[in-house]
This record gives sequence, C-alpha cells and structure tokens, in this order.
Amino acid sequence: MDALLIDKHVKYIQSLGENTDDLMYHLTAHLRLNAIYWGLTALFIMGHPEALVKEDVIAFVMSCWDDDEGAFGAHPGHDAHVLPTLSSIQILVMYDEVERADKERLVSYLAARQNPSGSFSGDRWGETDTRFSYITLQALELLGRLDAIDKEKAVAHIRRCKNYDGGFGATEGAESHSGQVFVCTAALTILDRLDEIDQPNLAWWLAERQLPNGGLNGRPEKLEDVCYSFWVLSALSILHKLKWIDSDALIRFILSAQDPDGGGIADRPGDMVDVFHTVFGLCGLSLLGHPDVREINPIYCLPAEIAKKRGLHMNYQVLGKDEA
Amino acid sequence: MASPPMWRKLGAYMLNNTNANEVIDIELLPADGSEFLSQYPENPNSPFFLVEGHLGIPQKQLYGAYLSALHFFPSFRQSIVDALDSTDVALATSVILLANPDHNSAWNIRKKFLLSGALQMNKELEVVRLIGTIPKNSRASLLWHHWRWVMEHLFPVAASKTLSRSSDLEWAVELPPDICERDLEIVHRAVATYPRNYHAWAHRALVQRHILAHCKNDPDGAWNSILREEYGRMTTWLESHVSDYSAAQYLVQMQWSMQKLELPLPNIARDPNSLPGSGAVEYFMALLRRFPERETLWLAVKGHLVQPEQHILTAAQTASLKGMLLGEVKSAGSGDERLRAGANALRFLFWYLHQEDNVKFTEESIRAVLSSHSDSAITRQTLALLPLLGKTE
Repeated sequence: MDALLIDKHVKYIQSLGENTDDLMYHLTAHLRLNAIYWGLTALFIMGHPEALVKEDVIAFVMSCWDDDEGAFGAHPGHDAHVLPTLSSIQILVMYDEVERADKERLVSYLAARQNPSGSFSGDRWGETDTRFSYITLQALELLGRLDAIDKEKAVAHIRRCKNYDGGFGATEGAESHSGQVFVCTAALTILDRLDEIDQPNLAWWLAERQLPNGGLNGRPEKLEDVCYSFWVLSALSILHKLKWIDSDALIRFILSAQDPDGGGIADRPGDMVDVFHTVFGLCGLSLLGHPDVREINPIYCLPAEIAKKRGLHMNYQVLGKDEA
Repeated sequence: MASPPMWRKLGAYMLNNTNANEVIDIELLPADGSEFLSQYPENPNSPFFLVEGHLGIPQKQLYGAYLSALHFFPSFRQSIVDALDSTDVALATSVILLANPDHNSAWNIRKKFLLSGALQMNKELEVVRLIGTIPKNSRASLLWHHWRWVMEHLFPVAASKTLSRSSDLEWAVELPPDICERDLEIVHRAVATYPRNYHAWAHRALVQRHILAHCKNDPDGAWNSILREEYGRMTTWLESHVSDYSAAQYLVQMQWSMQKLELPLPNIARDPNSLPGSGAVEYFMALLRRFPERETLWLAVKGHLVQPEQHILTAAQTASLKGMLLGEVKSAGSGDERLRAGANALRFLFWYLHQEDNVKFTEESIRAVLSSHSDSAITRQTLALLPLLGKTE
C-alpha cells in the first residue's frame, strides 16, 4: 500500500459516533471530546474540515460544560478535567469560535491546576503528570493567558522529571516515555526554555525508537506503534533532528497500517483502526513532508495555518519544506 | 420476581458484602463462561465463580453489568448523585471501575463519598487492590493515583512538618516501613502480570524515594533492610527478564541514589581500589557479556556512563567494553537477534567513542566497519546517525 487513502479516512471519521449502543462507545465515553478533537484535526490536515457539521460539533462541545467547576468534561454529565478542556478549546480554535466559551472561568480552572511544586494536576483531585503541564500550558496560551501560572516553577518541575537518558517521565523517577518526551519538549517550547533539553542525548534516545521495520516505539524494547510517529517525530521536529530517522521506512510503515476497506489507521499493520492512530499517523506523514497532507504544527498538534494566524510558536522542522 | 441487576450482585462481591468467602483476586473468564458453568452445575455464585477466594467473572457478564451500572447514573454531577441511594452508588461505581478503571468521574464520586464518610478509607484500599488484580486494570494511572490519594488520608504528614522536598509535595504521606513493603509487593505483582506496566513502575519509584529518604537515619535498620530486600528482588527479576528496560532503568536509578547516600550495594563486593560506581557498572557488564543482543543492557551501561561523576570505569573495564563492542560489531550477521545485537552495539560504539575519544567518523569509515553486514537496514539506520558523528550540533 503506497497511497494515502484520504477519502476512506474522511468517511471513517464521519462514521464515528454512529454506533451509540456499542460497548466500545461506552467504554470510551471518558475520552469522547478528545476523540472529536482527534477526528477534526485529521479532517483539517486532510483538507476536509467541512466533513463534520460545525454547529453539531460545537453544540456537543458546549454540552460537555461542567458548570460546577467552570471547565469541560469529556462527555455530557462527566466531570471537568484538563484533557477534555484543552480538546474543547482546540476545537473552538479550529472553528474560530473561542468566544463561545467562558474564558474567565476556564483561565481560573486551568490556573488552579498548578501545584506548589510547579507540577500540574489533571483536575481538582490532584493526579499529577507532565502531560497535564503541557495541556494546561497550551490551553492557557490559546486563551492568551500564560501569565496566569508560575512559569519558573513549571520549568523546575519538568526538569525534575528529566531522566539520565535525556528523556522525560510522567512523574519524578518515572521511566522515559515518548509520549512524556513529547509533552515536556512541547511544554518547554511554549515556555521558551528549550535550553533545558539534554542535547544531543535526547535526540539519540528519540532516534533509537526506530525499529528495523521502520516503525517507531515508545520505549526501549517495545513494539512499534503508529502513534509514536507523532510523539517521537514532533519532538525531533522541535529539535530540528528529523533527519536522524529513516523517513522513507517510517512513511512506508504508516501507510501499511491503513485499513484499505473501511478507512482509518491502526497502531500497526493488520490491527483494528481507531481515530487516535488515524490522526497521529496523518500528523507523522505531515511532518515527514507527505504531499497529500497539510502542515501540522507539532508543538500544539494543530493545523499550522491556524497556529500561525494566532501568533503561536512556529519554530519546528518539516521534511522537504524550505529551510529558512 | 426480577433478580437484582447484575451490577448490584457483582458490586456486593467486590465490597465483600455477601456470605461468600473473602475475594482475594478477580479473573476475567472468556465469553459467557458457559464452559465453566457446565463444570459446576451446583454453583451458588452463578453466573460468577468463587473458588478459594478467586472470583471468576465471564466477560459478557462484566460488560453487561458495566452498561447497566452506567445507566444508573443520569449524570455524574454532585446534585444528581446526591439524590441516588448511596449504597447503590458505591456498588455501581465499583463495577464501572472494574470494567473501566480510566473512568475519572466514577473515581471522583468515590473520593467524595470517602470524604463524607459514606465509604471508608481503609476498606477502599482493598477495593482498589481487587480492581488491580485484573492485569490490564493495573495499567490505569487513575487507579494508582486513587491508591495514593487514599494513603494520604490514612498516613497523613504531621501538621507541624513543613514539606519542602518536591517528592513530598507530590505525595504527602508519612509511611511506616511495613506499608512501603506492602506497596512494593503489590507493584511487583502488577509488573509481573503486566510487563512494562508504566504507572506501576512510576508508583514503585515514588515508594523507593520514600524508603531512601529514611535510610541515613535508621536506628533499628528497618528501612535499610527493606531497601536491601527490594534491591535483591530487582536483581533477581532482571536476571530472568533481561529485556525489561523498565526494571533495568529502575535499578540504575536505585544504584545511583544508593551511591549518592553512600549505602553499600548488596552482593557487589566493594573493591577499595576501584572507583565508586564501577561496581554497579560491572553488574550490568557481566549481564551484557551473557546477553549481548539485549538493547536493555547496553542502555543500562550507557546510563551509568552518562553520570556526572564521569570516569567511573577502570582501565580494565574500558578495555573490556571496547573489546566487546568491536567483537559484537564484527560478528553481527543476518538473522533478527544478531542484527539487533549488531545495531545496539554499533549505536553504543559510535556514541561512546564520540564521547570519550572525540573520534570523527566519515561515511567511508562507517561503511568499512559495516561491510560485514549484509542487511542494508542497519547500514541505512547507522548512516542516519552520521549528522551527530561528524559534527557537534
């Protein structure tokens, strides 16, 4: 399979949410808003933003508002959390409808997520993870309110989660993981503190994620997975080290994980597809310069043209794009 | 007369509210469990099975119970939940979380109930432990967080104590040694049944920090005893799971922390003439000689070498390492294992020589070294590393 099956993927995304009686639908309710953001982002970079009905999507987003807390939950009736809150803001940004949300209450909720140590929690119950640092920082930047948190402490916490291999973990002492590496690298970019990155050790660690079959894994000795095409690649893109991996082999790997019948992309060839791997496979192809995919800004995982219009950080590498 | 909804029955088992034997662990059985049902016609726990404390739940029953437990909640808003029967809420959330431990709203309800007293903190740990006995559940980050949250209430830090260490701020507990030991055992079971379990290992690292913080001032030696036991558990595990990088990196971190605190590494003879740290490196090099194809072990050795206290290799170790590296590279051939071994060794070699000797590699010299490889994938991937090797950017 060497073609990117855009039309099939668009139809696949449109079909999601049709089976509301599915067990799968209910097992993933706590991720619903995130899933809509993944689907919409994929549609945007495939050049088909109109494939979902804008007002229907926005209506669903607003129905997830948790008025007790002043932020968004993943599904109507679910509790507020930074994960769906960022997804909501990202969706509204893509549709250029951010004013629909209560910006004051959102900023208040997000700022309250920073802990005395500088770490960030996902919600009022306190789970901390460097993912939440990134998510909260991005959400605040999109709302133009990065001033609402303590940047120095945020950096200090991320630094404490840096490991000897140059990678980052979810919490202090936790193993380096590509997902965590991405969020920490992107968070440091937003904070203009890439000096905190252990170079070139981190680039080495990222380059070592590539396996003989061309795919990338998330940690040493683990299997390849298409989603790491985004987590690993975005970090390499931010570090301007995309040439440290074999891009042809990776492109072939991502394309081979497509479902030629129903559309969508899976974690690896032959497995069942889902919207998560679909968007991240497409984002990987974008960074690798695939001609059929529009540019994604890896720092935010938002379409580049939208990020540019909003004056966000734009310093990253895309293969094949003219170097400045 | 209609029988009670499945989730009430299942929830009762989980909260040990029945006359049945105490439930030690839970196992998911395939499909609807009909093959087991036919073996035990007189089963009083039908459609579940309870044999010597092992509760077996057919998948079909669990997910059916999950869906109906979800339907019990019109919404997870406080005002809506307050109007529901609290016993039912406790049963329904335990079933929701057994099937889907990522369901944050369900965990939140339980936290609210724990704060109000509708649920008890000490019993809650048992519910969480039970949920975690299904291997895939033990990967859920929220499960481990809920565990730590409950522990913060059971073992709070004295009000007079100022929390200054970042790790204390992240998990504000004052744990006695036996509780740390219990947590380590629970984590060990989780990583044994679900290998590379990220959040289990992350929890283990938090517990390890807690133990280490007590080891210098340890009058009765209880803390050092637990530390040594954990060290032994890790080396035993690693020696029979040499691709478990989560374990290797955990051990490397443990070794440094112990070296920094000047605690002796168990089972490693301390040679007074050698540099501190060389014992820990030797531990991994010995494993590497036996399993040179294992990426995990190369990375662990590399991990020790990037330490701020750089020159921890003896001259003999350096020579041995270089010899191994070059030998590995030259003998690597076709076949997946040897290919990987060659790739791992090559990457390590280039990185190491670049660091230590500032050797500059050219495409020519690399192709010469790689001439013994028939597979172009290795050549391509190694050449992709050239930008680093020739430049300093």
